[in-house]
Amino acid sequence: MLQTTSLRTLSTKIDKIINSTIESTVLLAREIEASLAEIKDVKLEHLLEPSVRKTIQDHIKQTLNSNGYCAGAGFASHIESSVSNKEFWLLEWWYKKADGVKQVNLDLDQATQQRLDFRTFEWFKQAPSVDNAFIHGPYVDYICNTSYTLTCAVPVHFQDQFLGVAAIDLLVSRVEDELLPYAANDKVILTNKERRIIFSTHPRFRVGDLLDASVTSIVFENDYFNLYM
Amino acid sequence: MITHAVIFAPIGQASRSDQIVQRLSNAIITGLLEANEQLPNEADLAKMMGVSHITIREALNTLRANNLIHTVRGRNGGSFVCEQAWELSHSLNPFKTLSTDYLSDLGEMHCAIISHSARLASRRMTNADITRLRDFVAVLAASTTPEARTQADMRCLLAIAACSQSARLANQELILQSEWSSLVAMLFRSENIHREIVDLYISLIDTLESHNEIESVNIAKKLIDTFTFYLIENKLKHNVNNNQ
Repeated sequence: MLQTTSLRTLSTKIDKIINSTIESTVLLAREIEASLAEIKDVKLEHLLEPSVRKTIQDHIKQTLNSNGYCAGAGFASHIESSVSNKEFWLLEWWYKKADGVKQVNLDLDQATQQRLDFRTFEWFKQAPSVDNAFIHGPYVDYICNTSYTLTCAVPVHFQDQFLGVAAIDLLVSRVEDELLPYAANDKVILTNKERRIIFSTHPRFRVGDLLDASVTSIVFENDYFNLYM
Repeated sequence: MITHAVIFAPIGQASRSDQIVQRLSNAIITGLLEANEQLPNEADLAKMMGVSHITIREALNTLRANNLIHTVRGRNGGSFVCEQAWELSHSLNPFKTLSTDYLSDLGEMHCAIISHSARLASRRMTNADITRLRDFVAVLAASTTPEARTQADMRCLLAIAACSQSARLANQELILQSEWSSLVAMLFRSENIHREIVDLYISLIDTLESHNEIESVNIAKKLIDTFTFYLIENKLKHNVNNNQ
């Protein structure tokens, strides 16, 4: 793979954005797990207690504050009803407003969450089968922010069982903002592993299209994305 | 249910309690909101629909006056859909109040959104996307009640819109569904219409899978045009029945 200096700095920047997003998501997942582990005789119902929810919210807000790229972050959990507990839904989601600073809570009651059923969302569905972080998208998030989005998700476990998912949203437009300065002189196309274009400095290849790889050559790749020229 | 996410979704800029009354009463009359179902509380409705508490309160008062909902006070209180809403629905039935040109126009807008979504989707769908859409259509085919069919149909159309990878198209589809779903719920009472729609979806998926842009657009248009045709037919039938 031939790499010019500019391509090298671009790929470094791509790695930086992805790795920091993954790190933040993993950290959020671990913090939630740790907070639960601290509770004496902890049970699943503790998740709905105001003090525990506040702790989780604080972790989420802290994640939003410390990661400059992300647009939203949260934790989703659904527990089936069983002998020892009744069914419950927990979706704690916070996102940054347009100014990038003010944080808003997506506040939904149990009934609404049941109707929304985030178990059908891809980033939640795939989490239990993937051990660590995975990135879903780009996709149109018409539930939350009506923007073209990438979601990084990490499963959260409780007493060795799948409990829920910690997730971070990254706007595709934000990725473009960050990468454009590094791709000023190159015609490059960044795609996910399904060849869906996330970032492109070639007007003929649009964000959202599936790239016909036969007309380009790959110049860089990591676990999640491919960079073509 | 996703139909609820749409019914209680934010109202547009020119928000008035009339629009809310229209949307909620249509949903109640056509059965998308079921008898004895509890509505979200006033605070949640205000937040979800993006309007003030006062507007919500006004709308709920109107719905109460029309015997579509009743309110129970106290700790386990709330607003619930009335049992007899179906019988009382005659004068408030959307097919009585909406004109054919209104229905036709709604259909044309919907056709524009879905046919263009299909155009983009034919290019942009992966095999995984196709499989997901086939699963959604299978759910539609297997649904037996008008409400379940409407919900499944909505999921199919939203999926097609989302597969365009266009946030704007998907968002417009979501907004349009808030009006569309209640009307279509009436149509799905007919087995024939249900079957016809399912067949159209299956043809559409085949063209999307073969990345045939022109045919995808044609069948998508045919799908929505079919709905629009039956909506207008239903309106005309409704008026004939009333005048007898």
